[in-house]
Amino acid sequence: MKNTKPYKLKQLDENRWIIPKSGKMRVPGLIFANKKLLPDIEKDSSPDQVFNVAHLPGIVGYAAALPDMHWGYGFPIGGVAAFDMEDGIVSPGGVGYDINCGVRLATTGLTRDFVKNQISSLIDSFYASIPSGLGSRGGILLKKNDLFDVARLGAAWAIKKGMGDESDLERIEDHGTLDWADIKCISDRAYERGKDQLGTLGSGNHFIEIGYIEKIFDESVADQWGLRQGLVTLMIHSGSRGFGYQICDEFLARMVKNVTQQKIELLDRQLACAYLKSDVAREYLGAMAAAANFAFANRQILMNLARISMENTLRISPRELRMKLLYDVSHNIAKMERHDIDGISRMLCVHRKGATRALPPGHALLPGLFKNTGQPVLIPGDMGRASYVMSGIKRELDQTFASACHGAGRVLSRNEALRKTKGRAIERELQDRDIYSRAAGRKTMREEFPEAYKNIEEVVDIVHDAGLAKKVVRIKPIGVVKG
Amino acid sequence: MELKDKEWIILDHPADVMVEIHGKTFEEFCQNAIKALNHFLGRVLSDKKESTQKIEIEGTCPEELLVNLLRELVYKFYTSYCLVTKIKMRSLKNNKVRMEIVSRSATVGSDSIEVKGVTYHGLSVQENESGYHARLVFDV
Repeated sequence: MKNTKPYKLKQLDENRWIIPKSGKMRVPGLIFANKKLLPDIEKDSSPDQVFNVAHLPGIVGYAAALPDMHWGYGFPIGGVAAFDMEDGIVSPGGVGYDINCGVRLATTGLTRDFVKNQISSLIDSFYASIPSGLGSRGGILLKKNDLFDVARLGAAWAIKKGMGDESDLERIEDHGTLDWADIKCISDRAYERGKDQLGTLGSGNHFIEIGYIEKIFDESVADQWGLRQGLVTLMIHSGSRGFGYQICDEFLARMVKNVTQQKIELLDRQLACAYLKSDVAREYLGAMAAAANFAFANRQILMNLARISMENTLRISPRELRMKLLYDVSHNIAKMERHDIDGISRMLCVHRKGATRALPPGHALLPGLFKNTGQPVLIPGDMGRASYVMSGIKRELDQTFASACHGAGRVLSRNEALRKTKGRAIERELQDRDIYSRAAGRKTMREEFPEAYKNIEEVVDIVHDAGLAKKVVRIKPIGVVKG
Repeated sequence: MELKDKEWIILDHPADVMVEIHGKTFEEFCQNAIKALNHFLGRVLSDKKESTQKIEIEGTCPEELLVNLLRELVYKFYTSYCLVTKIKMRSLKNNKVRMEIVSRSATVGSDSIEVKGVTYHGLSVQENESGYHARLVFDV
């Protein structure tokens, strides 16, 4: 078939492909993939989206995409792009509707052997006590001032209310609070859509998962983080719920108008944006930070609900459970960060859409406990195979603005997943692999079945081999609640 | 499946939901887009009464009008749990369409998907002799 694309992918090495700068591209595109993953990536439009992002005003370095990349809307999922503070832009589509959708991992003092015979009761108890599923409500009903407090304080709000420990905060990206949140930028509609959603999981690919550490790759780092073979872990994936969706929606509409007024040329209107120095950009960043703080609080509350559920179901004390947060990372966010571009340190607005920050050892933003190891990088896989914990490492050449992948990345559409699983009982198939599952949505298990995702092993190997982060441990799931 | 003779169809998209919509007139086109959206949002409670409301949607082009209309309905569903079943466009003036919308109480169905937003990704409303067509992506 004749290639009708306005660019040609060129292989740089085993794990990197470049879209060379041409036409009105301001930077080249850079895709982290090997020859095995590339056909899946080329099957959808995600390389086109990298090409489109490379045209945005003020972009620096590369429009980068990680090996879990797949077709999103506007920016690709698994994409990273950074913009100059003087002439660059911010784009709500480069963050996504689910602002600060992210993942956290907690360790426990329990062993797999202790939990495995009680896993069904435990997952049933999560399912009963943690609101999940479509438009899940029934969380904490917030009055407007309470929601503003959540939006200002983030995870600290939940801890103030007794849902966690003060020491959790240093184990959350940005200590669980983006301090530039501006409640003046929160609309009545965002309040209405978020007021009853705090402490809810959501639907689709959001989950709560019990797993155990199956393999250790880096003994030293694992030891410093308290990760020991066979120990039970808790992983939570959720975001800012309706509050964040509404904020993205409103600012996207404003920025669609803005690009016309500012005469910004876009290859896709979903890339609508505003110059970072403009009022609308400042207001978006203030509202986005408020939504990010809501998400940090949400995951803190969900972890607390899961902790209570584990203590009650397993009839153990907090001392026996010994739940400890390892880390909490954002997947969908725009933040001002300092990075080296051509040997010069510059403040940039880094967009991560389906990507994880991966700070190296010694980085100024890391707390003492991660100074020697680098930041924990949490990579959830699919619900049947495995997840990984990696660590940020020093890079000779940083082409992704200290970012790594955020998961395995979808390879099948929801429709295709439904077609491939017709007549199959995914819950039973998972049970055959010693994984007990519950889902709120009738079709969720089939849409989210393991093979709907890329093989996490291949994705993580590329991240490891390309020097974006290094493997620390692999976690096997034994029980999951899907939204 | 092809769109021919259908109001709307679902197309494959790896992460989100993509639909193709057709309508002989712009009003019918928007009506069919609403049907597609409603399919994912929830189901009408048929024993409940209809209610009629006048709204105004702004947009400088068909794409903006379509997206702004659907955004409004997504908000309405998740905050008031009602689905719009009919629209009647009354006037278009200064890039604003005045319309009457008929809605009914609704609930999420077992096949529903949480629609986070209505995107502009790749959206281009095409007009030809058979009417209006577009592909639309919902973030789910």
